[in-house]
Amino acid sequence: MKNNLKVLRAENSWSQAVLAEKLGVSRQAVNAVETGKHDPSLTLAFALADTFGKSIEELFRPKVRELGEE
Amino acid sequence: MSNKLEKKEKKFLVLFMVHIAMFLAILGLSVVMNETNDLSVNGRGFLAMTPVVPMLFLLRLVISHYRSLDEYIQRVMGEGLLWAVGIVGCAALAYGLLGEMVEVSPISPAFMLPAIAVIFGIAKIIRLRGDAHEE
Repeated sequence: MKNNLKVLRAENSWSQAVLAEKLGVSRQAVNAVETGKHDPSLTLAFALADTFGKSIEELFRPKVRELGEE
Repeated sequence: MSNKLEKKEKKFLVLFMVHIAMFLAILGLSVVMNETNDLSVNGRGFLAMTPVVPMLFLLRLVISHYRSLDEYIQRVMGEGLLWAVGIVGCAALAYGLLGEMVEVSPISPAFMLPAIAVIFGIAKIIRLRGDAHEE
């Protein structure tokens, strides 16, 4: 899953730790989602979208391969 | 890590150490009692297994802590546990098979849990190492 969390976080001048605090998760979790190492659950994805005031679609987009549209 | 998570982690570590201390105390006590008293076989058997009790409470504590963690750390812990059980299981299997062919010195099964715990810790550290720094 691709995402633009890093850009949005930078726009808000939030560190990963600050975002983690807002979400109630560990900083490692934020880092893993941001770097694409971990695809968040729906609960976390909604929480992220809510925190940034965006929709999930604006935050995440699947990689083309994941959709089977190679 | 947020303050709330840090507090939770600290509380867990303190309780973890208390359980380990209880385990060591009961283990020491059971060894001393076994050596200083002439107990029956049943008595010695009971005494030998008493240190498992704090470990069962520790297991309950770890599971409860696991449930309180976020999804990513749960995933890391799950993978760490798989590595630990897999490595110790394969090592036990290899040693057992080796013992069928050649003479090897026996190893107490009591070392399995500490071995799993150590490998789990190492696997968790390795897995989380990449997330240590903010990108």
